[in-house]
Amino acid sequence: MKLSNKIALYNSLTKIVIILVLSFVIYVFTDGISNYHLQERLVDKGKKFMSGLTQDHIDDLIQSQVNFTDYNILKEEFIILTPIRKVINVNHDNFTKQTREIEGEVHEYLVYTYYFRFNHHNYRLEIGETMSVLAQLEKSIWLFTFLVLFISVAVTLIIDIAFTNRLLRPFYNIVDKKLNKIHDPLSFSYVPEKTNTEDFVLLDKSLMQLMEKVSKQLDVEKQFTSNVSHELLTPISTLSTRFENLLNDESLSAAAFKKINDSLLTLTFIKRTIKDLLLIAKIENGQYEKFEEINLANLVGEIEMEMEDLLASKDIHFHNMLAKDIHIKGNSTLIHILFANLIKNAIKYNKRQGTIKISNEIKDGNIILFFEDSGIGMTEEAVQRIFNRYERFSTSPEEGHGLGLAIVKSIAVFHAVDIHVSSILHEGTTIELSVPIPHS
Amino acid sequence: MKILIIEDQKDLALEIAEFLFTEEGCIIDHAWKKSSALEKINEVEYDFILLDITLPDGNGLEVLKELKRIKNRKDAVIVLSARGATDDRIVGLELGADDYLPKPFSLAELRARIHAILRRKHQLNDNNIMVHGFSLNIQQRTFSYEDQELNLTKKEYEILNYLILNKNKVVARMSLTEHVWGDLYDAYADSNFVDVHIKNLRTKLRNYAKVDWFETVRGMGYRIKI
Repeated sequence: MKLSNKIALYNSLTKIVIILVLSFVIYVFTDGISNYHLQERLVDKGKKFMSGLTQDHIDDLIQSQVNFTDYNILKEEFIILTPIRKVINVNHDNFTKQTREIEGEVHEYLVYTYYFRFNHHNYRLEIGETMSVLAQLEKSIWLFTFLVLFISVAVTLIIDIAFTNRLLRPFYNIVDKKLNKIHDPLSFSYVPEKTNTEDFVLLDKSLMQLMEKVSKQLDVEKQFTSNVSHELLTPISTLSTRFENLLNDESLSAAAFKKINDSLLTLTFIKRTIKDLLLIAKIENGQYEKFEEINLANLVGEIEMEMEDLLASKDIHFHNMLAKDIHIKGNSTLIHILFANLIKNAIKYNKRQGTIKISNEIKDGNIILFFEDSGIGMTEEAVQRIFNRYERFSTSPEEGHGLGLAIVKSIAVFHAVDIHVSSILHEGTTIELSVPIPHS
Repeated sequence: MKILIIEDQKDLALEIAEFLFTEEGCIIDHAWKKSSALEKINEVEYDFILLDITLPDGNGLEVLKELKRIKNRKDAVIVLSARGATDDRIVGLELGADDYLPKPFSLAELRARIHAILRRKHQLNDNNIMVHGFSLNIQQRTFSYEDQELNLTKKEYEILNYLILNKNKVVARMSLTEHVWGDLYDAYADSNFVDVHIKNLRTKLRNYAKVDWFETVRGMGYRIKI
């Protein structure tokens, strides 16, 4: 989950809790206030009724009935005066909530009961006021506050998200520019990302320091490979020169000549192995650039020309079926080596009069290249192992120094190319390269 | 021919010297360090300088820079390097070196390069090497017999060129294969590609004249006698 989403989620959750708590508090508060005001009103009405109360008035009210009841039109309030025999508790205020049915309508009322004695008679006065008005009012207030809260929360949430996104933009810029798009330290930009958030400045700085260390390390490695190659190739050079000088001696016996010649072959073998290892080392510490536009059909055509003797020696039918307009971006020297190695293997492990087909298709934004041969094939187990350094394809009589596929793998990794190998023993091998299509 | 070998590996320098002295009859001078190399190039003019880049007291390319500062000098320079860095080659050639040879190189290759450069530099009007009525033009990369150009493939031309530049010497098959095909072929694979090409080449030449000067030395290689 992204940090901005997490912050947004956290914000919305806390705000929902705040809304709930606040609405509950407001609900309780308005309920208490309105109840208090209602009670005050009822007491006021009672006092008004009592002041200036005369016997005539009472008689007039009660007349022949058992008690006096008065409702207003909306039945929102009523007054009941009942003569009673005995005063239960003089001047005792009492509020009760009662449900009353008045002329067929059921309402809930808050009733104020008041006992008093007047001219040796006891009376009970009940003043009621409907609570539904109050409930409605409370509901409106509560709804209103809820709505206001909800809108303000929604608005602040949107602002929050926009703000965190803006706040985090330098972070994503740093990650994108300085981590994701960096495949080797050479392309690293040491321009600080613009931000006034100190944490991001720190992150940016730390990344730059890290990259400096990595670059230094790579420089050391480059220096090392360069030195190793010098240390190894110079004595080889001396030896091969010495052997060649020996060969010029005309008094040399045929046997000695052959031995010296074989030694020269061994030296050539060592030289090539060192060069292959150096090539892998150089690829792996990023000493190559990869911005060249390469036309694959032309490249395969060139390699076919180069290898015409090799192809002819086994009578192999070579089919370059690549679309003419397929281009990739990379290092042309390395891609040439990659293709040449694959084709060389396809020839080496092929049958006489076999075929090699090179074709392509485009799938999911990738160019898929197929190198198909009708060769000796491999077992499933062998397929698993072929990219190990020094692992040879099979126990073929053909000799090789086994680094060809290790080179293929390094070049592929360097260019973010996926390799997939499928093979059937005695029928042939297909190597699939999946190359990302360059963005123009 | 006067040659200066600037190389700190004495073994190698002495081997190269032996080859150039006995086989080519050159007069050899040595410099083991950058400082002595700088002294020598200021004192003497050479026909050829073999320049190693890695010297104990500095970069050999500085010697090349110094040489280019001196006026009216025609010393040909071949840069030698075992560092395997492509930059060395580019920088060397940009500074005005005539060629670049990565170590290890074969002596036949060195000889071929020396002769090619000498022809280019000192015999500008005559780029043709005469071979028993045939002539090889190393500038235009053609091979002809009495004004008729032979129709040779690129590889056939390369083989002829290499053997002629190593004239009168046996060129080992391996050396020839490396020169023409690079490291396309495995060192141990006993390839007969060279033989096939040489057979075709002989057939083509025979249409014009006898080719008994184009020899196969059994078990060793090939030789063109002039």
